[in-house]
Amino acid sequence: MARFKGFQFNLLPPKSKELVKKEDKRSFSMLYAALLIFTIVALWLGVNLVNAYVDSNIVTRWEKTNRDEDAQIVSYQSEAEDNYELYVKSQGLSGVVTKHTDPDLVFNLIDLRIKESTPGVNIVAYSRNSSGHYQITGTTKKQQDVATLINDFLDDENIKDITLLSLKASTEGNSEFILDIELSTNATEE
Amino acid sequence: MPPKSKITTKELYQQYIFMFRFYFFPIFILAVFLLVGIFAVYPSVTTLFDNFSKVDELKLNSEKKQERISKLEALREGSGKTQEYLSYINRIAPIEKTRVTDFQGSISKISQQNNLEIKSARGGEEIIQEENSTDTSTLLVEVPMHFSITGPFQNLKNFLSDIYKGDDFIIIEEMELSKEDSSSDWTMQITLVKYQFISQEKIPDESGVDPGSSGDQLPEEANPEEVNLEDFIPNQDVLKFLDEKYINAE
Repeated sequence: MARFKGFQFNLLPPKSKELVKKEDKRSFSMLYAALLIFTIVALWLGVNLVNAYVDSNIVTRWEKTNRDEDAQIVSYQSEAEDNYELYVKSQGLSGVVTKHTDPDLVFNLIDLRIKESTPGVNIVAYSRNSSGHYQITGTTKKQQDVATLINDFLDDENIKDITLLSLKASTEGNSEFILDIELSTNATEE
Repeated sequence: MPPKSKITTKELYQQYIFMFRFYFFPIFILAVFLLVGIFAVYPSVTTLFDNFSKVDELKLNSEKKQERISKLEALREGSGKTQEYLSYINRIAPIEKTRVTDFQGSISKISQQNNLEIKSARGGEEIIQEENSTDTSTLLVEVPMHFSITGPFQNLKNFLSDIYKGDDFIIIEEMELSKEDSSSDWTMQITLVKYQFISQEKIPDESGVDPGSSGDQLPEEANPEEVNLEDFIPNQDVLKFLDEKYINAE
């Protein structure tokens, strides 16, 4: 730093060289310190400016977008409620609709198989239990008819889960056999 | 070199005072720098990052809402079909007071049309609920009726067919058809079931408005804000059944 050297008459003793060096160093330190303050204040202002921009523009814009979307969603409320109502009711009915079959269709199918393969078998009872299985009770004079009938049912792709529940001789002394067959079907209307 | 003079405690103290005065201003500025940094810049930066997080969150919410809107738009496009399905379901299993009397009446009518005689009839009511169902607000009620009917075999078959093909959705739950010993007539023990939905007490929906005539509510444990009604997918087997049996048949 430039120093004023115009007056040589000073009552104070001259500064030592060491002190002059220290004062120069301190002057630079003060410059740095001033820069430091300026920098931190500039940083603070900068951050606040960015903050204000983000807050007032970006956040506000996205909040508005969200509000608009909320309003749009609310406008679809009735469709959503209908969908949920359909969901609840269709779930409730899911186990029910599978039971909705036409027994007449099954009876006709069974009658047709018997007529074609074992006309000697006379059906005396049909039943259907709650699990959806059908049961037929018939009589025949030839025991061989039972095997033929079961084989015929096995060949039919619409008849499945065939079980011969019982085969016994009639107690009425008419040399007939009584058979009980359980089956299920996947026959559908054409 | 001249010998170094001894520094007394007083001189040392004076030196420290001098050093403090000498560097006071830079130290003061440094302290101000730190204070501004800690109490002004740091909170501002934190707020800035909070705002960025908020923007990210809002963006994410917006994306989710857009997805919801897309689904809801699809629902609106298919709302006609949904209404059609609902109208058939409401026909199959209406939300009304118990309809045992009507049900018995319609069975009597079909049996008369087929020249059959109803020997006995008795009914009841049973609430059934899907095992995995979380919704207890809408319950499916089974209204079974047990009939004992006699008549010619062909008429009984026609009776069963009429029940199946009729507009009323009636399930043949159990049936036993056997030939009477003494005559050519057959006897049928049959359990027919009619279904209906009943709604439990209503709770307000998201907007605080009563959910309306349907009486359907959100699953018990669900928070309305977390459950999106459009995410529930109706049972496709039932919809297929409705298509085949009613909608495409007309």
